[in-house]
Amino acid sequence: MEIPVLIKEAKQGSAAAQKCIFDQLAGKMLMVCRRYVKNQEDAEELLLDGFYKFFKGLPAFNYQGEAALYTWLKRIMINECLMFLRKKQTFVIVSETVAEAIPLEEEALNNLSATDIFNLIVQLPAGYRTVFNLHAIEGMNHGEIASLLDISEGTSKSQLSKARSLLQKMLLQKNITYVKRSTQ
Amino acid sequence: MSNEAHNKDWVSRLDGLDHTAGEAGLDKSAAWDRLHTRMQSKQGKSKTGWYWAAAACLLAGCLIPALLAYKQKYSGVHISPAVAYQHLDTPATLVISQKEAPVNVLKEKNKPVAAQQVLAAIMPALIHPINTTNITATLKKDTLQITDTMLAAVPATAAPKKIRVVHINELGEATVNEVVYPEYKPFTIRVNSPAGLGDQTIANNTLNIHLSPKN
Repeated sequence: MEIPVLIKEAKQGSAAAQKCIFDQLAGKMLMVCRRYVKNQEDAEELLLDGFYKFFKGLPAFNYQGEAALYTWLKRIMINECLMFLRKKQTFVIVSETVAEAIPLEEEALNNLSATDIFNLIVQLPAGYRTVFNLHAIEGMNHGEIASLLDISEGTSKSQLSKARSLLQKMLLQKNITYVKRSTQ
Repeated sequence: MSNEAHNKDWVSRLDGLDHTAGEAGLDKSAAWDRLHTRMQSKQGKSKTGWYWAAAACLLAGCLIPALLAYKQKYSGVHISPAVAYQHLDTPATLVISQKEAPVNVLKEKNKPVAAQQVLAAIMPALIHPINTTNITATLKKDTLQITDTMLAAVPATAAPKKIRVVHINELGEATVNEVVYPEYKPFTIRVNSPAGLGDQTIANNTLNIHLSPKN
């Protein structure tokens, strides 16, 4: 069954349609949760919380395509994860000075598999990982991250810089080679 | 979202990641069961909450009238009659016909007209036997409704003094009206008049007035 039909039926309270949607999207959403929350059990709980809110808010959702649906669901999951992290106070704010500049060559990540990238990211400390996820993957700017995490923009930049440095070190430790982009 | 170029290949591959190699994936059926149970239980909780709220409203609706009735029933035991009389919802109504006003009305200019009428109507009834001709119980067009209680009205009324007026016309020039209190006898009244009227001594209350001008 196609997603628009499933959404329509799920809006009307069909448990079967809701289960189909859950089956299709739960795996990806679990990986999203795990990028923010390292622990598998916590991530599964957050996944269920997020889907609960998703199905609760589905009647008011105006379906405008699969991408929009995915984006909305992903945003719900991220919000759940951030709330969880705020409750646990896992954000480690070290200092606002920009850390040692070892720039991450993000093109090196293109040579890695998705699983390798995922494993690298989850090894980062919570604060670094959160800011890196929000900036490098979700595409938020530092102002948005600062307001979302209730930190200053400088702190966000600092955390991102440190995350990049740490990732670069990990890449070097693994002897992962990459092709430098040619500069003109 | 930032305007930075975001078409990174590794990001799209990471977003599409369903499970990591070497790890047990999500048990979707078990997870769905948990989610479904949670949804059902929360719906049930919300319904239960509405039931409790409805029951509370019903209970309050039954209890409040009962409490009010109980309070009304036993309130007279603890409150003195005077206080209870003052707290009546509908004030005592005394209808007075203005046309049949009593003859011996004390006219005091400083009091409001309504109060004067009230006093005029009430005083004879308090001092003398009730004169039913002065106080009627019929509503008329030009009637006055008294909203005061009797307790408030009674202290305001003063008993009329019995006065005696002495007219002294013998001198022809001056007329002296003096208030004489018979209980104070004998006493002297000094009158300063342009005619040179001197002291007047009243021997007793038999109105034998002896006038003896000095000059």
